[in-house]
Amino acid sequence: MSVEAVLDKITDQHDMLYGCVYRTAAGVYHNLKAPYDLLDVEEVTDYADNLLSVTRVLDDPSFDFDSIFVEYAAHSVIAKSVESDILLLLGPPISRAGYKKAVIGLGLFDKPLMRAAAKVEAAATEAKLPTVQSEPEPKPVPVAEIETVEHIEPGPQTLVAERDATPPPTVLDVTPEEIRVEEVPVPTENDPSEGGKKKRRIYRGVVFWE
Amino acid sequence: MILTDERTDVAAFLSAEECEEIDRIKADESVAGYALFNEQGEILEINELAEDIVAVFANVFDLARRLGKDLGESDCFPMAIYENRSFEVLAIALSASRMVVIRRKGAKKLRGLRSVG
Repeated sequence: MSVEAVLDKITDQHDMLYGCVYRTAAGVYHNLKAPYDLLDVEEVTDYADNLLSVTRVLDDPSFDFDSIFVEYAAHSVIAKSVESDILLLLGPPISRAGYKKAVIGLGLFDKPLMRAAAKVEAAATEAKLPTVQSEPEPKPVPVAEIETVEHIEPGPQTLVAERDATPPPTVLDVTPEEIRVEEVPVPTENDPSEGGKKKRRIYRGVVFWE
Repeated sequence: MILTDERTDVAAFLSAEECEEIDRIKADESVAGYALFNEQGEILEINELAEDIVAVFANVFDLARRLGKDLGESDCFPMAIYENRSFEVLAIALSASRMVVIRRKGAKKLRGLRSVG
């Protein structure tokens, strides 16, 4: 149920009312109709709030009031605190008996009002939050796109591992018996036959140039 | 509103009808305290019990008048009723003065206040 719908229920119960205003920390709701819909509801509720809280400076619980009734020549206003919120009832001048009648049972609307306002405020907060986009899942890379190193030219590098199908072993796993040492001729630019030799160690299919 | 303790002639600020009504209020057993002051905040009459709290309730008139202005009640004499389990406090705007009446709850009701404002 919306806040306005709860306010309508209050107005229906007291058919002499022109309408109601409900102010929470987050906003002001009302079901006032013309000409009262032009009222500065924020200002009106501010005055009502001040009227209700004026006695708090006394710091005396026996002078704490949670509802007041103000009567004018052509209007009457009932202001009631609903926890930290304010409910305002606007109507024609009514007698004190009428005021008491209006206040009786008014507390029954406290919880529906607070619930409805909380719902609206939660929806507003949700709407304000930035939408969280889920991270795109990593695209699987086709096997064909993976570059494989076919051959490594012997050159200045001193120790280069040649990838084999088997994963490279950790150093600690290797025993001296498993290591095979080979000497490979390295051709020079001018005379391929005069090239020196380079040593390489191979173990478990992994080649290390020295 | 800042109240000052300049006692002035009460009758100058009240109509005959208001004087009569105030006498009735003062005689009411349920009335724990009352204060009468003019629009400038000068106290015309006050009883001991009201002295501590009347300054606070005096502000009610300004607030009620501002609220009334928003409602289109430009020249209004509002009456505000504060009520809880222990007390009923009435702030009544009279023709040329203002009155705050503190009534203990459970006692006999005040009568005829509407005819004052």
